Amino acid sequence: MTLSIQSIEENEIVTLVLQGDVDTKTAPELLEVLTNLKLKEISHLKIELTEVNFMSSAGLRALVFAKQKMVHDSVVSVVNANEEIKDVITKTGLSTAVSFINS
Amino acid sequence: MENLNPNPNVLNKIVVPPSMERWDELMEFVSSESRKNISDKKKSYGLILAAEEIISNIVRVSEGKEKILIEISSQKRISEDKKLLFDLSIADNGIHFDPEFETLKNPCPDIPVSDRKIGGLGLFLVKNSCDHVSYVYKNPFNIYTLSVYIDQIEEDQ
Repeated sequence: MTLSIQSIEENEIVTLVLQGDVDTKTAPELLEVLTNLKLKEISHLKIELTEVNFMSSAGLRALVFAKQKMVHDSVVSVVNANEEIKDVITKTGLSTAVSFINS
Repeated sequence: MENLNPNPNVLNKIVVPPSMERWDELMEFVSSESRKNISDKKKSYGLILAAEEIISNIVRVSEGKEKILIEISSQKRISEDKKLLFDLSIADNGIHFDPEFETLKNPCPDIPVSDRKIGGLGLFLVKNSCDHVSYVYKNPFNIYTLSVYIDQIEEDQ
């Protein structure tokens, strides 16, 4: 199982386009990309999940990490997440901090 | 590792050392067995999610230690309430770890994400992604059983 991550930066908006599974093995790659971003300077972080079928709690922890490092009124969105991933985000209460976007 | 699950109803089984080197093999087994035996996509996803969390814990505490194995087996069985269940049993002979599913609470019910400690999220997902979860310790084995209902058995069958 692999994960590829493409980062697109436009002013204060950063989009990470993920492809693959985000699990125990691959989530550290996402965390590394997030760690290397200047999160405090980002107003909107979009995580594009169109090509992601699976996200475990390791992936959710990466989302929480990002949200906690960003300034208070910044936004974290997941884009085109499948129903199962949305369900897990909602179930864990993270939907109060992570918005869903369908494009 | 002795045969942990001699039950003749076992469909398939994998026994390997719990390491990141074998991660893909373990997850391929879990995904394949779940998707093959559970038609409901949401239930199948939930079982894979729960199994991923358990396997991740076992790998994390066992990585690099000798003579530790993980066994994952799949089976179908009839529950006490006459329903058909699909089980994934995950056993290891590593560190004794009781997740205490019975008393496990939502780790973060009303805490804002900005203040949240993320520990405990994995076990919360295990408990809430399956129809039944159980843990027993049969020295020296931790045995986790994750179950989902897959069909209704008619009274006259």
